[in-house]
Amino acid sequence: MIITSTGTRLCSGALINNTRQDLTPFFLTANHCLVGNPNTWIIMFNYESPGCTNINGPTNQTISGTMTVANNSVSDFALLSLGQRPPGSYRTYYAGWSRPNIPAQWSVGIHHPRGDIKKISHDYDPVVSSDYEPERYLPDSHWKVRDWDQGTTEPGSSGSSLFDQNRRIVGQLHGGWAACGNDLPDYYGKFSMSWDYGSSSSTRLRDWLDPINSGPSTLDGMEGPPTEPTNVVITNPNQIGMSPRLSWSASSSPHGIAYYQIFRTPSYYNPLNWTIIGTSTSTSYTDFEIVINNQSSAYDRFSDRVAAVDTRGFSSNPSGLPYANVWGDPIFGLAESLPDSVTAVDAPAAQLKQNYPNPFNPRTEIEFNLQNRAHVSLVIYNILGREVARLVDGVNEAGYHRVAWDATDQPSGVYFYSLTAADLVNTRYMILLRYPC
Amino acid sequence: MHTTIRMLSLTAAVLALSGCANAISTQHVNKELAGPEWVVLSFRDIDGTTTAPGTIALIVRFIPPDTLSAKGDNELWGRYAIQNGMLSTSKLGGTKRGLSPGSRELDLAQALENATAYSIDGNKLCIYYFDKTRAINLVTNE
Repeated sequence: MIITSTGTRLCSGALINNTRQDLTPFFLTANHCLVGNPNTWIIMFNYESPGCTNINGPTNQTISGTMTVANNSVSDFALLSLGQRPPGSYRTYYAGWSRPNIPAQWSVGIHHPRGDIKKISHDYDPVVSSDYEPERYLPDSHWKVRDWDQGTTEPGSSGSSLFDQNRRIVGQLHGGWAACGNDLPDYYGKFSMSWDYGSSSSTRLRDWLDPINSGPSTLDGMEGPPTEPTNVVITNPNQIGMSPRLSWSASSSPHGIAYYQIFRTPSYYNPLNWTIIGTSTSTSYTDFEIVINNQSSAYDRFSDRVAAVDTRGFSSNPSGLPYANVWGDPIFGLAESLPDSVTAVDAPAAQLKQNYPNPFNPRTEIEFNLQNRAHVSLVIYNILGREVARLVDGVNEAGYHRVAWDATDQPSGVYFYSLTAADLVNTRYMILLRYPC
Repeated sequence: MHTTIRMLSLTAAVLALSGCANAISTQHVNKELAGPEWVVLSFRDIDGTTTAPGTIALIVRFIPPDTLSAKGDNELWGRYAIQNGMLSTSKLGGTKRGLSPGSRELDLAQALENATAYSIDGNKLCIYYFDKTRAINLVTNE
């Protein structure tokens, strides 16, 4: 639903897919809805009852600011570009479309009559090619819904999409006579005419909805990005000498979550320079580039956020406030941080297992797996980043390998072991715990 | 479906019933119904009270040969005809933008669809609806 800067619930519309299928937030509505300044409009999503009863819906799922990228009065369409992509938590759907000039066998309108919660109207008969106001509009520029079998439209429904039997947009509401209590028609500007009307990209849909010029006659819709991870926290903020462990609540996507990206910024006071520090397929991550201290100084404070990436490769927005914060010392340059579980969908070139036992005194074993024959180095570092042992440094065959480390000459503390193989660096940490005599 | 509107002769009796025009002035040259843009000045209710046209300008045009056009938040249109001194209109359809707060577009549409008569006095038009019990006052500056 379109809401003007003065609060008028102006028109309806729909997010619409494009052939690049990149979730560019295009919004289809009616040309005659272009009143006032679209830059100040608010687009409200999911204003709908949670069930079949007529209960009011949420009004907080909004995107501010739109820009008109194309429009024409002949088929009465307007294509807007939203100021930003709606976040995954809105669970948006980018509708598909059908551009052949073929009448829908039955049709559905989704709209906000009188600015009310979302309503769905059904016509179980084929639409008819028609003119609208013959003195002003071209013949056969509209689809005529002769009468709604279920529901109707009202002021506020303008711009709403008409979907065919394949759930694809075939037009947007221009106007008509339909109202509560009558069986009169409505008229929708034809998508087929909007597609290629006029001589420039500013008067037609083609350039925007088929940016790769692939020429399909139809395009299916697609779901929006995954939901944002929530409840991102450091689970061990007081474990001095350990690396901070993040956990969060899982995101969701109809396509499944492939992995999470972990972002970190080095300063609590400047949470702008967020850097991706690693990925995880689980809902936790240990940041081995940081060791928790007890400084309680803002200069030692780090903040973390997490974003989800679905199996299509679409990323959610990073998690919002509050950020997960921790006081710690950076160990930058030591090694690349690792997810708690391997991120790649395909089997990685090398896998590094957690040492066993851990904590240990003074002997432990480290296991790694190679997909292919490769040059491998397995190096132990102390908490200061100094190399204290090099357990492997040479060509190893594919398969599992187990290496023992005897830390008899080392003091208690946290140690990192880093496996480098086939340009892949895996690092984990372990704890040497010497018992007093 | 058409609603019949009788074109009234400008008799004092009718005007008294409607309370629409203040007086008949034979000095005026009456405008034609068809052609000019008529702007709604007020709505007159059954009890004679007059109310403002709302926050959005309401405009009505009778466009020869048969188009009835109205504009508020939306562009409404239908048909009209004058035959044997009788005026008839169809139901109004139109665009379906949401209505601004305080808009009386729906009242205008209801009035036009239920009109039963009209009168013109100079540049003022009075359209009666609901069996002449109510009226809208309009003016043109054209």
